[in-house]
Amino acid sequence: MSVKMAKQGKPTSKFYLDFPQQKAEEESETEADESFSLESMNHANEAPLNVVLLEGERTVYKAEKIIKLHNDTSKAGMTGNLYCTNFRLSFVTHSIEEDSDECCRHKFIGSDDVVFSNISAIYQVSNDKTIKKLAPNKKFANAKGIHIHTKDVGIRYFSFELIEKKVTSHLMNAIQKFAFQQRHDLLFAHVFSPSAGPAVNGDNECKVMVDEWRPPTYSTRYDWDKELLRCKIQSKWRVTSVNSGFTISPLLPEHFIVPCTLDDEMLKHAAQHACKLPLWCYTHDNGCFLVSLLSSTPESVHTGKELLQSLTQTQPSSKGGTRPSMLEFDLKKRIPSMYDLKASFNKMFSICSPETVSEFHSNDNSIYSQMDSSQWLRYVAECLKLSDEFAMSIDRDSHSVAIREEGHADFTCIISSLVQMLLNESCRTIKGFQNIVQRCWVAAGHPFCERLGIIYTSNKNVTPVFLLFLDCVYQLTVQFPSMFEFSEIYLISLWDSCVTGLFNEFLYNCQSERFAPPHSPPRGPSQSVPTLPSAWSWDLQFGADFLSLFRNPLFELRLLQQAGSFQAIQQTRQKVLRPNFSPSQIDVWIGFFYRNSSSMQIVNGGKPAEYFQQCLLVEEITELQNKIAKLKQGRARTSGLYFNAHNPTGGAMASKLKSSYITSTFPFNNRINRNLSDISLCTLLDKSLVLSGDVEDEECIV
Amino acid sequence: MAHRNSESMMMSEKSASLRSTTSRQSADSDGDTASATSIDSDSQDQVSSFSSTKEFRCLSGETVQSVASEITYLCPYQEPILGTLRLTTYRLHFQSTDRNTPLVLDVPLCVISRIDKYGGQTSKGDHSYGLEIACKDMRNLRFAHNKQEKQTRKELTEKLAMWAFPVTHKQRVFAFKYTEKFPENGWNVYKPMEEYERMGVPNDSWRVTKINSSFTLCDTYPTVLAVPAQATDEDLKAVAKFRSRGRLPVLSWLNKETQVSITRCSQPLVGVTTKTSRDDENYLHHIMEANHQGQKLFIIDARPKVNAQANRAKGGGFEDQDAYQNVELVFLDIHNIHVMRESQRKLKDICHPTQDDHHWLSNVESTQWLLHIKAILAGAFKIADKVESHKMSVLVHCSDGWDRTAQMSSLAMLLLDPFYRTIKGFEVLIEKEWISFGHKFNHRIGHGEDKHGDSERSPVFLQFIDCVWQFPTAFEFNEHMLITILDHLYSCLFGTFLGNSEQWRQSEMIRQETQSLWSMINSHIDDYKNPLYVDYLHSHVLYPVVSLRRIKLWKGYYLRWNPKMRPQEPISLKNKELLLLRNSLRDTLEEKRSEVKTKKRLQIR
Repeated sequence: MSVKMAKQGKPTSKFYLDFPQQKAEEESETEADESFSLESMNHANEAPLNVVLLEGERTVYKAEKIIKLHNDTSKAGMTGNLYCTNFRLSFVTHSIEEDSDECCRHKFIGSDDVVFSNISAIYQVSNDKTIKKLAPNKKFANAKGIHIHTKDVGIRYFSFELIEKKVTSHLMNAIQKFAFQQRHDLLFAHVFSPSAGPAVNGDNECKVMVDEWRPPTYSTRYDWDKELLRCKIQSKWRVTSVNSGFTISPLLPEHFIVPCTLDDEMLKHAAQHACKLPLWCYTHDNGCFLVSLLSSTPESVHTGKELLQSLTQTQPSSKGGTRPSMLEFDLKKRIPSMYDLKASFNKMFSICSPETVSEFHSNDNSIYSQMDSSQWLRYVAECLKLSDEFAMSIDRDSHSVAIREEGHADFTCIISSLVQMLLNESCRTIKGFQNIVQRCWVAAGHPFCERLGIIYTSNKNVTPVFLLFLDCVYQLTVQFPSMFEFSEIYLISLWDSCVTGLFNEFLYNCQSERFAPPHSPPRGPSQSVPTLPSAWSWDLQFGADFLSLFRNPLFELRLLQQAGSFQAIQQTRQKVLRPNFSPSQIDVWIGFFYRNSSSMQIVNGGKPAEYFQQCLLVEEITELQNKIAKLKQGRARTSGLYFNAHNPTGGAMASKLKSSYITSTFPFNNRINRNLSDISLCTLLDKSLVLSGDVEDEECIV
Repeated sequence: MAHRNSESMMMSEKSASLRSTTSRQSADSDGDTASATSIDSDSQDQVSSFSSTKEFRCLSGETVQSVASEITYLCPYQEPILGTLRLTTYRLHFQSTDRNTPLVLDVPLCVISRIDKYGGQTSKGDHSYGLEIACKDMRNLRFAHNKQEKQTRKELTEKLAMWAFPVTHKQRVFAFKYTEKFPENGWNVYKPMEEYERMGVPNDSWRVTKINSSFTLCDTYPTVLAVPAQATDEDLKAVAKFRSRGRLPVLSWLNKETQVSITRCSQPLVGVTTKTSRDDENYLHHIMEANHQGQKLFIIDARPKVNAQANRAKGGGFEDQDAYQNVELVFLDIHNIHVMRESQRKLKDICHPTQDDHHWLSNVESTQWLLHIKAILAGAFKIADKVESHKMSVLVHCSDGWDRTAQMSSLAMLLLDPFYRTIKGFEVLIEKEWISFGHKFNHRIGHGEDKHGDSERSPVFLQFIDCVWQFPTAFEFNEHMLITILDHLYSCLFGTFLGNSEQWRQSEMIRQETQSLWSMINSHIDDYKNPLYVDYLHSHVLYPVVSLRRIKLWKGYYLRWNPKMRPQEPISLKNKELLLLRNSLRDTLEEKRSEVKTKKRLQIR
């Protein structure tokens, strides 16, 4: 098994320790099997275990000798210090393995950290081994450990076996305080001031690239005007500032694009009468458009006749001079309720991230019917189907489409974004995609704060609507592998940014909140809006190497073909994508839902292996082109992919590929937990197989 | 490319736009432009197979037997199509006459498992009178006759039955008439001695014997066998007597470095009286001792324990762990051929012609197909783990040692030895573990026989290929090669999968009188290469994640007849483009370099 590299430098040892019966008086039930295998260090010549704090971050509590378990049932884990800060729980240990590559790390969130806003639930394990769900005002005594469920579909296990009751109690208090933040103004994001961090090679190029991708914020009239001109639709559409100062609606953006036929008075009138207002989303080549009808107040239900009439008048007239009818569609009939969607995701969570490894295997044989009953894939399919219908209506039937739903902007955001991606090539680039997310989600007022559960309410509105969208986009990238500039890794990283709780885009429910955050003291007119960091500043979070993973090598191939340097075997004639939404063609997004599951990890395999081979080929192609260009006295270009010749790690790649550098969960959770995977595989097959031979060879058993 | 019978269904642009119209209210009747945007031609292969069959051409050795015009093909994915049906000595060929719906169906006759007539002279309605043809490759075809011409149906049915079931009619299959010449000779791919030498056999512990050269020791084994060096020929004969059908334990694979081995055999003849055999016990001990690290021999019985026990009533059974020294016996719970056949039948039901969108995942689960795949992979994984991590030699058997045993040994070898993951290596693996060791292809597939209900039939080999497909990036070959193998498993165009044993193949002169599938594949080897394969990345042992979360239904094979289910932008094609582009650039660079060189040389002069 070519799994683990020889560790270099620090003397790390794993040992198996019979847990001392130190608390025998209170834990009479402690049995012989309470032995933990701990990875620990020779502490003598080591620097103290410290967390590296961010600007504005402070340690609230520090507990030593916390055990981070690999999974619930395993007795294998690592000891270390757990820091509770105002931003995260940071687990610091000496035995961090060197094999997770530097370049693939987040700049400031360690792989053993749990950011508070990423937590979806905390369960406390008590002495009697019962597991109880924590709430802000619920306290349970005698915590023996906690299970933390995260929004990126994972569970972290910490054991408090080695610490005193008092410490446990302090720690739990601290966790409880920050994990259930109920006031927006107390969020860490407001005190966080990102510093660029140490300058790394390639940072500048990286910044240029990130800035290239950056969408306008759509908080100013200028941004909208620019978009109007960019899309060349100023003859029929105009930017309205009717909501300036959020006077007519707190939910809608201050400025947005409406038909010229609608004047501000009509808009005001409609808003006063609890009507939905139209927000322009997209205009197709043929002049047909897509509009979402959004609520101006939570009470808005119907759409005014006048509004609809003016929309119809905006339709391009056909040859005969008659205007085709516009399709006004209420999504209600076809979409799940927030409650159903939430239940569906929870089911997916329990299927993909079962509490225990034995559960993973025991329900494995019925996984297909469980998936079926979760409905998640069906919702994905339905979104694709709806989008395809609307895209066809616009492109083929020349009927413009106006969509609406009850309540907040949720499925309107999903569908309007997908329709644009199906219809328009430019929306399939990173830049175009981020523009859509910014305009149709952030500016249009998708309630990110509520849906992501950024601050703790009664939790009932926490529904991963945006994740459903990302899953739909992922399905498109699978069905059309060369049509999208971004990779699966990009989509996963975007979701991670949502739940990091630091970025302006994903912290608020609407533009008005972004302007005046809830609970914050009123500002005078001269005071400027404090701007939180943007998720689109990807270089804040990741280095150049990681960002190169955002690119899709097959898209590069497409660019080469478009540049005329190469003929495709199969000419894709279609400009409009027609997704296949048959349930048999929609697969679980393994890269997302299973990325924290060590039982699912394939060493040297899975999609990342494929991705890297593609990158290598594109890289070689670029190099060859450069050499040819040099011979022709031309100029050179780089591929910008991971194996870019200028990538400092590029040269070492061949040896990395030979090793176990790439696993099916690369670049997330790339650390291989061989011990664990051996056990999990073996429990399935043979109980006697708990430790395979060469594990014993490498590690001494105490 | 001319010899592919797969993907012969070339859908028109119009029919391709059927994708999703079923669920869309608006009809596509006018939509020329709309359908043009959703063209479905998925590969260049398909296009070429269409253009090459546009004017029907016979293979060398193939002759047309009958031509029927005005036949309607009742396509499950679009409107009925009128066309011409040709019956040749090799295939059933349908070509539409309507230019707007160009469609070609190309069905090798041996793929047909059953022919039924439906409707009579009195049946009412259009297309109510015709033929229904069930195929082994997961599809059914319906052709309707014009009622006026009742003679044609009778004639066609008779001729079709005659040619589709040659064995039933005491004829030979088409492979014996096929006279194509290939540049490569696939019969030279597998040479037992070379393969044993590759594993370092003979050596101190293993010897190669030709004791079976006239098939007297075991009539379902090949002539060349590798056995423990310590066992004499007399021992071999004695052991063969204690094993079902004389299939004594012989070497399948040996790790050159560690000397850990995989051996295969059939069940011991224990019977109700719990017979034992001293010779068998010693023989197994020799196998164990050939591996110096091993303290134990691991015996894997692929059957569920209850089945193994039940076999004692028929004289079979399993090793008594008390009688044998240092053996460990484990049952794998892989079900028998009948259970697998039933599962395949259910699979066909849910995959063809259309899929039920509402219960798709539950339906997949209900076939249990993937559960069987998982059990097989888990067994192979277990063997690989024993061999690699525990350095234990493994002996595999089931009842007769030609179905589940072949699955186990071949898959374990694939996991352990990167050689078998190359195109040549995979061919060797199939030749060795499946063909030479007597997987009963004739019985399991039912080549040329009109016995669709035959309980001997079972998708054992299909399951093996399905398991291989579950590792998409690990092999030098691509999915197309797997599908090609399966297509010719049924087609009887090549001699490769004919027969139940080496003995039969020798007597029928298969090597002399038929072509090898590997001749065709190796002559067009670029078509079967996985663009993303590099050997250094795959030099390790493969450990599959044995979970239904990873094991998938092979849509590219089981759902391939439904045009809606084909990928619009197949990633395999994109990867191939990458490879082609790189190769062409490499060539260009070489050209440019030599150009520059000659220029310089000229300048110097």
